[in-house]
Amino acid sequence: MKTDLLIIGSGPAGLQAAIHASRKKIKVVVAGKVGNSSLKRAKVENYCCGELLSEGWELLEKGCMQSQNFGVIFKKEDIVKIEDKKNGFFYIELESGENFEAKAIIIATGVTKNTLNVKGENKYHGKGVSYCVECDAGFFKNKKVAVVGNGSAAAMGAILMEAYAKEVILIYKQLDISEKLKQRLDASSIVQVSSQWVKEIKGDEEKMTSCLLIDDKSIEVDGLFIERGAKSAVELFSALSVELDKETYSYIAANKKQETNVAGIFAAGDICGPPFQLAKAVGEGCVAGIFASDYVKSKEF
Amino acid sequence: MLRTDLKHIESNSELEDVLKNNANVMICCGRMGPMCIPVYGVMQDLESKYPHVQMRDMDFDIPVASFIRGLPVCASFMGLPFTVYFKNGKVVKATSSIQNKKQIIEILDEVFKN
Ligand SMILES: Cc1cc2nc3c(=O)[nH]c(=O)nc-3n(C[C@H](O)[C@H](O)[C@H](O)COP(=O)(O)OP(=O)(O)OC[C@H]3O[C@@H](n4cnc5c(N)ncnc54)[C@H](O)[C@@H]3O)c2cc1C
Repeated sequence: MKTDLLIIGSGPAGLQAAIHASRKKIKVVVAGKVGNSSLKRAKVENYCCGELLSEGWELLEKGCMQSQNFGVIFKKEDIVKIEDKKNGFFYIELESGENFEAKAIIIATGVTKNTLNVKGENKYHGKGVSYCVECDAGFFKNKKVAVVGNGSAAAMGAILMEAYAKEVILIYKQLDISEKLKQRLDASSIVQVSSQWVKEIKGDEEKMTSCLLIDDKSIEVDGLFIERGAKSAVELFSALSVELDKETYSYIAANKKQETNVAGIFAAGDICGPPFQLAKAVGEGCVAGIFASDYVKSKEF
Repeated sequence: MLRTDLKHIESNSELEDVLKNNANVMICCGRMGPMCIPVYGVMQDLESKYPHVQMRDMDFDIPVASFIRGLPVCASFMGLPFTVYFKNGKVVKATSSIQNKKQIIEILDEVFKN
């Protein structure tokens, strides 16, 4: 399906961008799970002109309704792949396999911590513990590995690992993935350990050797991939050479129009760096929505 | 070739040259992936602040990279990039996988004290 603008992320930055862009009469699709916005659990009392105390989830619900009223299409799935088609369109793939071609993209993925914060994690980071299946899969050829996480990144990571490892175990509390992705997982040889989580990573000082689960069962593995939530923006966009901020190299660098260094790609909200505040996310979303729609309209496709 | 603004090491002679002629050398051996790019970025940023340290990157998949991959200190490494710090041609520290700016500064200050 072709669209003018695809917004990755349905938090306040993505929703505000969607509202402003759709009012400029361009075709807007928003991808992402609203429930994964960091605003979902917040109780906000520092957002101008709202209630004295606003529930984050209520604000998100209203934002979705507003956007839908302006014709925004929602895809409640994570994005797993983005490519520049070099013909004026970006190719974007959802976790179910459904795909889009968009003239412009706004990255509004927020920031999620990918660490588990458990004993042994730092010690064995790079020595069995990895945060990127695509980067490090090759080190685990014919080995036994586990992937931990509830979202699409863990499920996709486990599926990818199947091609390398001799055994893959997926550890999760509760999966939050599309039906199609779940079917792929069920059809694979991946061992699923549900209602579980990793509470400690153990090793022989040189490298990790096992992980201890919350029920105190130990699983012997050569590697553990920590893949919480969805694929991060840095992972999704590194192949497109989108520049990171010069201070920490953890966030997407954007100018005052919320443009990145790549034409047609904009960014807004927490993914552009601190302060991590609703008001900033909404402000940047507004700017990104306006300039992304101007970009779409200025192009002769 | 890696798309960074760092000086690259692409041959054995370049590697020998940098290790022989410089007391303090940091080499980051990786690919253009999300765990490597932030490390190259930090190195680019720190290059001018650490003029006494020669900073280089190296493509993980070219022949000369077998030198880094084969170092005993890297034997248990299973995460890109492999970053190795040399003092007078000898390995003094090595890390596997992504490191943030604070971690890299700590290592530089520790191993390359003026
Ligand atoms: C507990 C808590 C309390 C807070 N309290 C306050 C407060 O009182 N006041 C205040 O101003 N701020 C507060 N904040 C911060 C505020 O919630 C954030 O600054 C704001 O939500 C950032 O908006 P965002 O749209 O950039 O990112 P988020 O709201 O995090 O939304 C990111 C969106 O991107 C989606 N996404 C991520 N990866 C992908 C992918 N690969 N594909 C598709 N979609 C993806 C997610 O599903 C989500 O929908 C709080 C945050 C937390 C966690």
